[in-house]
Amino acid sequence: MYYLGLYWEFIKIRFKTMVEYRTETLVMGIGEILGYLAKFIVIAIMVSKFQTMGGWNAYEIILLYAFNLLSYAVSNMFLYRTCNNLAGQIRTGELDSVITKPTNPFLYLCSSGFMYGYWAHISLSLFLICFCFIKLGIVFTASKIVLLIFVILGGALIQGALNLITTVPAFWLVKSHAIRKIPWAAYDFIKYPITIYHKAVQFLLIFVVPYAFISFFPLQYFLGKNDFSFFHPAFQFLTPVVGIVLFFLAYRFWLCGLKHYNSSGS
Amino acid sequence: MGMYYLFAKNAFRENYIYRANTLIYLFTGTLSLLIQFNIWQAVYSTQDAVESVNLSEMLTYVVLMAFISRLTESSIGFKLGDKIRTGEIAGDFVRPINLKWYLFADQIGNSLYGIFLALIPAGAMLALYRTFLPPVDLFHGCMFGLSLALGILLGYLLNYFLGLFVFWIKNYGYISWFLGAFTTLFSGGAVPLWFYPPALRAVANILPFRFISFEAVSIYLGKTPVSDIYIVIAGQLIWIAVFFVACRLVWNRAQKVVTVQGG
Amino acid sequence: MSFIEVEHLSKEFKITKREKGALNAIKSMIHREYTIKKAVDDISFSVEQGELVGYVGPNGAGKSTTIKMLSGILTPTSGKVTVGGIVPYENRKENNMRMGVVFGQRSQLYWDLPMGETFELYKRMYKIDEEKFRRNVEFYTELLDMKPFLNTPVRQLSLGQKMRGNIAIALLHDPPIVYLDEPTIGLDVLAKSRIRTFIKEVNREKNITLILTTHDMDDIEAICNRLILIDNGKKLYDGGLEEFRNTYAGGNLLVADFDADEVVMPDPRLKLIKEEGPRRWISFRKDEIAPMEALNLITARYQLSDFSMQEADIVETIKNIYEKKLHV
Repeated sequence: MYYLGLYWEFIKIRFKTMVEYRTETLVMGIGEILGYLAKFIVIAIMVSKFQTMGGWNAYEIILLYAFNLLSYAVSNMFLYRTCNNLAGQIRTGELDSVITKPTNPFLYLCSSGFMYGYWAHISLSLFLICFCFIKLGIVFTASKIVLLIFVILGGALIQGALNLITTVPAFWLVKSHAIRKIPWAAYDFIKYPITIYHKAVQFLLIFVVPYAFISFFPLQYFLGKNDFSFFHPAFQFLTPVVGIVLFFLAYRFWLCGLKHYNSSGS
Repeated sequence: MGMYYLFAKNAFRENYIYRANTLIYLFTGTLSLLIQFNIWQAVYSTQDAVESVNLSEMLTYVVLMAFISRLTESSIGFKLGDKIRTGEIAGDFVRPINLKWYLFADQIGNSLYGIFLALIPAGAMLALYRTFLPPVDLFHGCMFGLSLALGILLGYLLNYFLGLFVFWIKNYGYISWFLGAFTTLFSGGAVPLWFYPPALRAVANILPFRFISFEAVSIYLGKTPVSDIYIVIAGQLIWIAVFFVACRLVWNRAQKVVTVQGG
Repeated sequence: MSFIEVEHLSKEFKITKREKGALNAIKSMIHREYTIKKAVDDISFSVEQGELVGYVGPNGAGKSTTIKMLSGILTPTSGKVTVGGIVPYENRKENNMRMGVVFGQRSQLYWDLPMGETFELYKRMYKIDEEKFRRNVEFYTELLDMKPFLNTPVRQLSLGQKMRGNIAIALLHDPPIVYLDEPTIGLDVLAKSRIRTFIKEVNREKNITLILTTHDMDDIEAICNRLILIDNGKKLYDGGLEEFRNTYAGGNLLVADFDADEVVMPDPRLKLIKEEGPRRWISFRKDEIAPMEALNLITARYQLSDFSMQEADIVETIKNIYEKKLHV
């Protein structure tokens, strides 16, 4: 528990660094907001042309994307550097500096690599979530907000887990960065309600790469829908559970990778 | 001229060496097409045609755009950015190779490899869905080819032009996000411009992005009236000329900046 | 029980055989073939508190592998290591708390932080109490002359300044053992000398145990009092530096080209340590026998076509040991 203070210290230090580079962070953020805004607009065009997609209107579909983006950003604040740099750190031996410290290597990497650049994604998605909820006439209650937080955290854990799982092979393989693209490839499916897809695809998105739990199922609850196709209504509350389980598995895998590093060096 | 051929061949070969990467790109490429097919199928499940475009045409559109995006995909901005940051660019000023065409040849090599990567997912989709329309007729097919070639050239010049600003901005990342936003919105990549509301369509019309890939595909599918085809080609040529000149101007300015600052 | 105990330590690596050609590539996907490389082969030694050990070997000899096992980075294939009663690769966190590491080629400082703040960070990380922290910071910044650049961000520091910073943070928490891997690499002569003096001083003050791996023999000569030589995973020499110098590298060398085929030393004070064709290297100690007397004893028995007198040096000696020309 003592070390939580240390990790928090790192996050604060990263903040100071960010402040030094605040112009860059700001301009980059604006660029990113524009980039994502463009994607949102394109989705809006799509939906407004075709009225509904699987029974979901434009605001609802934008909520899907916003939930995805928000949980992605929360996850990447901690994991982007950690996952991106791992292969390089193994290669240069920099990882040795990490594992010779009296800290948990994973937490050390996540906190010392914390990125504030995701302010852009978070602002945009939060704005859109509020905007769409208001337009749809959904009331904000305390319990809804708490659930929202849990859902976003759960979604972040799911995304983080998949990111981590595809990064760990770097402990075994020399050129493994392409593996990290694999779960990302299926990501675009969840722009739209999964019910519009073939059953096999839905199965993929629920049981193989559980992206459906990031936005589709939780939004069933918020939007008062019953769009479960052939899945159980309880799924709409399972996001945090799926997130925790998946991340737990990812972390175990990480430990395996470390163990391998301990027995075979680099 | 032969020199540039070598550069292109080299870029192609460097891609080939990373075979595992290839497999993964094949996989993600196929998945990407699959996603788009699924989405359009869902859309067309309740209607036969939208704006007189039917499902087969839409699926053909998707495959063609994916294909062409491989050919117009460009990391020139980043490459230029790297060269400038590391100071390598000083060497490029001195060498007898025209940097612009060297990078173009390099991109073509990468692109051709990209086609090879795109062929397999496309083939997989075709096998699954059995729908890919040939060009409406020979004339349209040829005009498609011409427009495509011009589009690729235009796309490259646009990227190169923006890449040059790294001399001042130092980090291409900013530019790439802004460029990305415009491309997403106005190139017709995700949603064809035919489906755009009139206001946005008007904006898209005055920008060069549609001329890179969208117009060529539109010709292919016969959605552009024959009389308009020549206007499209003219538009492409005009934009190419514009960027060609713009590149020259910026490049000259950049050289001054570099010699003043010393790199 | 010594402070560091290394017992029959071995480390094997599986190296996959990489075959050329497409057919073999496919074969290798089905059935991997390995060769076993013994990086460390049954090494044993013990180190007492306060010793300054130089751990030397050519590239690929197994020295960084040994150090990695001592510091807990690698797990041995067989054998055992204890440092201060702890097994490093089993109790990593605990071991890490009581150890310092300096990687010469890689800085462990944080790019954007000034030194002063880095110290605060390490104080937290190693749970150093306020009193000890203040004392050590004062002690080390004074000794390493760091006051002038304490507030400069690390990215603006010179290599020498960064290295001093790295050493300071490695010692900040008073670890009983510090591993130094090429600590003076890339530094200018003045900086090297400063660091060496510093290390000796710290050892004197705090009785810290030090293990130094380096290719710079001047480092070893200046700092260490014990030398362990390893090559091909095996220990070749383990003993005092002084003793090594005197036995193999010390005193004088008479290098001569003999006409005879067989050469036997006429006196026990003269040691034949190397032969290469007609040329022989004969070592002797000045305090045991005068150079002229040594020469006379030899020439009384043998004809020499050429000769020279040298002061043997450690680097040359070690090189000869590696090249198997010298027997230890």
